[in-house]
Amino acid sequence: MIFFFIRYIYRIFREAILSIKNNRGINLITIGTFAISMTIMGGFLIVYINFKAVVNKWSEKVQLVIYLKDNLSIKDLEEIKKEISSDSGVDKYTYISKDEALKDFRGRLKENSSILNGLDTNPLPASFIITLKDDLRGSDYIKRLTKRIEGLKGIEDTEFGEGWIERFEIVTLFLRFVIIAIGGLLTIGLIFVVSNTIRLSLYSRQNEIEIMKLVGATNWFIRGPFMIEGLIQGLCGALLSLIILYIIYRLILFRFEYSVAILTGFAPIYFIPVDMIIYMITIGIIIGCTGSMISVGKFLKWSSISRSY
Amino acid sequence: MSEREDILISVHGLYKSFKKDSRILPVLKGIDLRIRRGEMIGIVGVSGAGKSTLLHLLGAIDRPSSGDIRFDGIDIFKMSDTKIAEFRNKRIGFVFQLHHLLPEFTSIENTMMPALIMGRKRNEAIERAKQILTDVGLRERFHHKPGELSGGEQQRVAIARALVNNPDIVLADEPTGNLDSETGRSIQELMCRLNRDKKQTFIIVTHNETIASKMDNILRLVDGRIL
Ligand SMILES: Nc1ncnc2c1ncn2[C@@H]1O[C@H](COP(=O)(O)OP(=O)(O)OP(=O)(O)O)[C@@H](O)[C@H]1O
Ligand SMILES: [Mg+2]
Repeated sequence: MIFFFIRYIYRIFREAILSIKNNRGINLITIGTFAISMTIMGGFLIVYINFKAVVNKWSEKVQLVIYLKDNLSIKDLEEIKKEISSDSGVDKYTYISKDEALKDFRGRLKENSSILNGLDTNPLPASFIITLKDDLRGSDYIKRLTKRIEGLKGIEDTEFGEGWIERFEIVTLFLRFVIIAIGGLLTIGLIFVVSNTIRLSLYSRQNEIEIMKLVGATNWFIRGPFMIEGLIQGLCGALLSLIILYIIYRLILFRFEYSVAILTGFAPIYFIPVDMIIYMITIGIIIGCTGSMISVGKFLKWSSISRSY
Repeated sequence: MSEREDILISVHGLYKSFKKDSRILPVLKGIDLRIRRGEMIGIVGVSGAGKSTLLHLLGAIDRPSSGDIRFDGIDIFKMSDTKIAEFRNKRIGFVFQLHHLLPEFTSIENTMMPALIMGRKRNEAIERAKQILTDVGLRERFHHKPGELSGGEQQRVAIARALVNNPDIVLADEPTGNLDSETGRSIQELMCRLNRDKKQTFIIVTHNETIASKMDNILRLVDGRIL
């Protein structure tokens, strides 16, 4: 039985490869269509992955600054400090007194700091600078925290990079939506293309299929080679697209390294990570098998052997 | 052996109609028959009488509108697809008029196909194929492809293939229909010899009255019934 199984596997692979060889043109077109579609998909994926990486890197720098009123009582200050330190989303915070703020400002003005000499009072407020934990840098969380703190006594103002965080979140979401939409459409399209190719291959072997049925081949026995044919198309298409993507990726790195680096804030540009590569190959294989299943299923149903020999 | 045990196939109340463009075309209108093991039966009738249709039902290629066919007491239309495939492979041999051999394969390969599907080892299948091809007089044509064989020789390969799994019955649809009368007669003699020597059961559809006259039993299909 095992022996028969091995021989069966061998048979379907041999027949599938033979059939691909016999219908070389259409198979190349199918694999090409596959590769192009998956390259488009992969391209979006790379953009998405890198965009997300850049957003993450940038948002590391996102800080929430709380400016305090002058003449704040120690009690109010302690109250604010307690509120901040008790928040589970806060990674770290520092208190900057009025004096420290001025010193800092002078330091930044460097040789021009003399313009501050005429001041008799310190115009800069004291402040808390808060860094949030990694996964809580989304604007919603920041908004909520800000609101809470603004409700306390002694707060002059708050400040953070609200606008661009939100914008980037929208872009990320949009990219994800585009990837899902295009992915869905391409999947349906590819299933259609594969099932058409397999149908041609079925037609060209109709006589053989009927004979096989007459001598008692089961439907699975007949299906086998066509499934493998679809599988090979999907696999080759996916692999080819990965090669194309990698070449494009290297080219961009090589030719536009500097301008891209500026765009990304000198973050490294990533290729599709390994687990995604495995997904892409798996999806290619599944699409190929599904396409051929559909065709063979239809074919075995309506091709009753009876009238065509 | 009692007469009951001798019955290989019993057909009961077989109806078959085809639906075409919402019109129903009745072809078989109630067939009852019994076929004994080792019998050689001819089916005759005018074109369109339903001879092929009946043969297809006997081989479980098609399904009847109503009625049943029992093979050794087992209702073949109650079997699953896989069981039907196995049934066709082990117990039935088909011989048809045209397009019956795989063109890229040699006589031996064509003949051994059902044996391979049955799960026989390759060497065993080759031995068996050679033996049967020798029986049907094709000792010198083992490695010829169908394109390199005459019509009569192709038909012999088809018969060899039908016999390779030692089936209970061979169903042949006009096996001599496109052969000249001389070759046709030799094919018919071959089948008669196999029937005599190996007690092989045959059901043969034919237009040829001389062939029909050599049969143990003739079924005449007229207007969807057996006369
Ligand atoms: N799939 C089908 N759909 C519709 N009508 C069919 C179908 N198959 C057969 N028929 C009709 O059934 C009738 C019987 O067909 P069948 O092939 O059994 O005849 P036959 O006796 O074998 O004829 P011949 O001697 O010409 O081969 C014919 O009138 C044919 O048109
Ligand atoms: Mg007919």
